[in-house]
Amino acid sequence: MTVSVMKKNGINFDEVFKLYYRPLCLYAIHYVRDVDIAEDIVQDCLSLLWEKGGEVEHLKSYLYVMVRNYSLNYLKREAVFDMNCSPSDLEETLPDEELEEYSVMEARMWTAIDALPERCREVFLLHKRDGMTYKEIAELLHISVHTVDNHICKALRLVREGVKALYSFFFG
Amino acid sequence: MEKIEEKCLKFVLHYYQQGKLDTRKALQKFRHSHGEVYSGSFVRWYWMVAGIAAMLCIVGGIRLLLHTDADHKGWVKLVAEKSPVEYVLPDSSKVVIYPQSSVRYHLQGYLHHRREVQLEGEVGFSVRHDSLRPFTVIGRLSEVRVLGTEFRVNEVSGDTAFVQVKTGKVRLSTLGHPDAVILTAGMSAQVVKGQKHPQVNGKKKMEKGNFVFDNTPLPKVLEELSAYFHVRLKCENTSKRLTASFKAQSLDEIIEIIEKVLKVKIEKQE
Repeated sequence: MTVSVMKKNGINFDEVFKLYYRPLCLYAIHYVRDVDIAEDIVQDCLSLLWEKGGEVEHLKSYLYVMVRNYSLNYLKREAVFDMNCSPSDLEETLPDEELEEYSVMEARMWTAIDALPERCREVFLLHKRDGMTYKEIAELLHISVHTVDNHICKALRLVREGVKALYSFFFG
Repeated sequence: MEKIEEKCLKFVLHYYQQGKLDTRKALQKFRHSHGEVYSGSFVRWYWMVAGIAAMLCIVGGIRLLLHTDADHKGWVKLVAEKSPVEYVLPDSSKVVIYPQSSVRYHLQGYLHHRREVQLEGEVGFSVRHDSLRPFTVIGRLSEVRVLGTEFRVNEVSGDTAFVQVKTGKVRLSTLGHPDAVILTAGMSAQVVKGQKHPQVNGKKKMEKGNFVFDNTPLPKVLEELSAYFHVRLKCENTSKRLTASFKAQSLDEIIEIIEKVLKVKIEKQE
């Protein structure tokens, strides 16, 4: 079991992971459209920084630039056609600087969804992500439409609160 | 600002999966690769495999062909005849070449351009992770491209290529055709001669596997076996360590051997 903190070249990698791992992953997902590949890319960037990086002045910007470059390189090489994903489902492309800001918000939302009570999250995803109606969800889970509504309102409230939180560690 | 919130939420919901983007797990993985202390099994495993491969090269029953003349210009071909051959590629990726099968790659090309190997017959792969350089296997019927994962390609039958993924993710296509499918851990698929599109089977339980343990703590051993065979293995005794190598053995066989060797009792839950 490792006990030591991962520090090198004045960078505390434990803290880097806590603060930036999720936002960087979500940022990468905007480019590569795949969660696993995004995670791999962020791991590789951080590994490269550990192995080769010297002193870095503006760490956050540096990391975002690295992740963006890796993501674009990945896209250049791979014309991956994932049968499960339809481009028309997704939002239109945004400029990079905005993506950077949004990634922090998105990381908070992801953390907030993780923190939802099990059933609440389930109902929330079935409706918001999978597009099921309140009635369909109620039938599927054997609960009342009223309960479905409660769950969804609660989820929305908690997610919005999570976004506004001043201290949000993306520790999952 | 609400419109942006809506956009972000829609984006997050589209990709949200419980258990993904796990910061703790990612940090653990990072420590594992770069920290000074590690659980003992991963890094040494590669050295042990290289040792095994070197030994197998000397033992009879296998044939190692190395072409360096002008015609072949640095191509390396490995052929297994009667027994499986384990070989470590230049980037530490590992292959297990089953009997009557072969693997061929260009040394300089592999090191500097693309990690590409040609396959005949049946080969198991354990590919070293490198998101910048995808690993490609070219068979007679199928083409498999991966980032870092463990999988097996079986083209022994002339008409059908079987691909089975143990961990990670691969992109499988019929040779010469652009349509591809993505296979994840536990999934398998076929490429049938004459059909343009691979057929996906969905998640299947693994029956046999290859494992190498080098002074690995028993809990880690059970963790790895549990993940591969999709079961839950437990043992009261957590202090024992295992040094063993299992080749194409079923879970029950492996459990029996571990129980005998370490004198412990292992509990299996589906």
